[in-house]
Amino acid sequence: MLRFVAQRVGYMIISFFLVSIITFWLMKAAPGSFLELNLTVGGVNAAAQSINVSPELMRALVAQYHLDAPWYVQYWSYVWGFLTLHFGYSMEFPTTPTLQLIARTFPVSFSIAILSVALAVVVSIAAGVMAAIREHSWLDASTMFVATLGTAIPAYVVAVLLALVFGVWLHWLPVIGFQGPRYYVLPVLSLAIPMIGSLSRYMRNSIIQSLHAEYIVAVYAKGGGLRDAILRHALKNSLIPLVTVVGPHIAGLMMGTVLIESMFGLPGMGQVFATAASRRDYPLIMDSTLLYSVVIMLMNLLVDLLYGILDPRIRKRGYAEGR
Amino acid sequence: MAPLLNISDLKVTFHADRTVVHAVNGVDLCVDAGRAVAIVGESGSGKSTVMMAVMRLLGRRAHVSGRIEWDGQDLLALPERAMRQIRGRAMGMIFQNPSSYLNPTKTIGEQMIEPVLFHRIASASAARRQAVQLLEQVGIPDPEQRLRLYPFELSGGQLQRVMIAMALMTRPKLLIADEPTTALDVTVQAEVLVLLKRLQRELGMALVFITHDLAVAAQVAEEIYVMYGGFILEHLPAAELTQRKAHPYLRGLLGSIPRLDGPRTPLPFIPGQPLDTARGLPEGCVFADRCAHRMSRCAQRPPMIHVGSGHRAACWLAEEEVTQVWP
Repeated sequence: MLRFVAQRVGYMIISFFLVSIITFWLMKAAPGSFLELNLTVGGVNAAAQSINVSPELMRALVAQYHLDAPWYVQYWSYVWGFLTLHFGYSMEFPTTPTLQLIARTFPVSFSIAILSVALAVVVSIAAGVMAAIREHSWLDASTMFVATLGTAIPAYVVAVLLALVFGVWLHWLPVIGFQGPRYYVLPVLSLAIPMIGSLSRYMRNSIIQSLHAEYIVAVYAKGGGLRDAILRHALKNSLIPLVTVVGPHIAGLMMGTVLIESMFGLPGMGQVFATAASRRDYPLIMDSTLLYSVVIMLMNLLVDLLYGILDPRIRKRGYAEGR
Repeated sequence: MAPLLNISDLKVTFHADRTVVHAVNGVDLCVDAGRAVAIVGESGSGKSTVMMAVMRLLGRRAHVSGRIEWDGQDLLALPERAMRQIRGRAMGMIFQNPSSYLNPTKTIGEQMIEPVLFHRIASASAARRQAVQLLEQVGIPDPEQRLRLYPFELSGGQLQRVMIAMALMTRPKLLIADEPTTALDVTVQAEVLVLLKRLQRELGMALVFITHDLAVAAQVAEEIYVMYGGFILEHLPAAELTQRKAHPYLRGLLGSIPRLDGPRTPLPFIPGQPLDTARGLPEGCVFADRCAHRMSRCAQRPPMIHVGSGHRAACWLAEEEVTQVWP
């Protein structure tokens, strides 16, 4: 297991550098820089004026970000800065270190993503089990109909629908802003509902498939009932394939929150990310992208370790073989 | 004394889309307490289906009729709740492929104590102690440590021993063994057979042994039922297997066992295909199509004809057998 983790961390380091190089290259390839965008209009002074800093500071900025240095020096200063947590200053908000910007916004995005995944997994397992127990009954059919509906409707439509019903019509929940846990409810639901759709269908089929396994016949032969068969045996074994599906969902969600954040006016990282990209705010682009990539890679590692907890064959063989 | 298990006129059909499979077509079978009985037949003869019907494990797609009397009550009339009281307690079952009949993600111990837990016989820790004892009894060394292992960490032969021990956790009156040695190596096969036979005698429980192997059946059982196409063609004491068999099918089966000694001859076999039970049943004898002794009378289905003490056969030839011994 230790070897497995060490190997995975090795891969993560390689991926991290690949991501950083690609991001840096794409960022540079995009026409115009933060400074140039303003420079083209009226020179350093105009640029300085437009972002409200003195020409001296502007020149200092140019020097600080090595904008006049060769690309590898620039690249390395970003990566090294990230690795040593000396994130540097945003160009858009020159008085705020990017670290502070990220520290303020990342927890919001992260908690929305994690909460919605957790909610989706819990609800999907419950719905899947219920539908599987009553396979081919009206309960099964209606649960799966709702689930299909959930899958078919994208998160932003769900968001509008929820905002309309619970915010505008019923006045139960706030629709915009962020001043406490109540403001989380609708964004989390909007992200969770489409996931619940696909995951619960998956869970149902997975449990039904497990129930057709021969070891379930043995459970019945021992005097067990459907309850024992599902709760003691089929459920755990159905979670193994579920983990496979949830993993990519988590990664996707880290980015999926961007849209929902802007719809509900949440001060999350999505907004920071989007403006950074459009304003060519190099330090902010680099730092937020690198942070996302690290978080996603850590999540994937966590998911892979989960396999071992669920499946003794993977755990006991030291994660050596594939799933 | 009333028999422990008395099956009469058991019929099982499976309905799928438009076809109806006549898996079992009126089987009478009787098991006395403490007795070992074998059901022998080719694959598809309905031998496993009969015992799955006894356990009521066939699922919703199966239509079961007839009477299955267990300790004086009709199992087919019992509500599911009452059936669960019997299943896995008074009646245990072991299966052909132990590695697929054990959950790969649960330890041997967790699975072994389940019969006791399901029937609320004892606490988990008491069950665990019993499991250790039983594993020792079935010849698994270092049982306490084995309980913590997962099925993939044991060999096929060891897993089958675990399955046997698991079925014995509740001290059943009847153990149903569905081809328990078919998936094992030949040497391991013999060990498991000897073990089963020994346990059956020691514990005084009845055993129904399902197999396609006549030699194995003769070794383990005192009585043999021969099944074909969902019918019982012959029922005889195991001791008579080599001397008096009445049905041409059984003679054919015995003839097709290869011999290691003696001159090499082409392997005799029964020509033709086994009865396809999905295609509807013939009017007359089910074996007639493949029978070397077929006669005009075979267009009528023969009843079970008394041949000798504890020996009956569903063949018109058996009528003559009573008076004149087979060549």
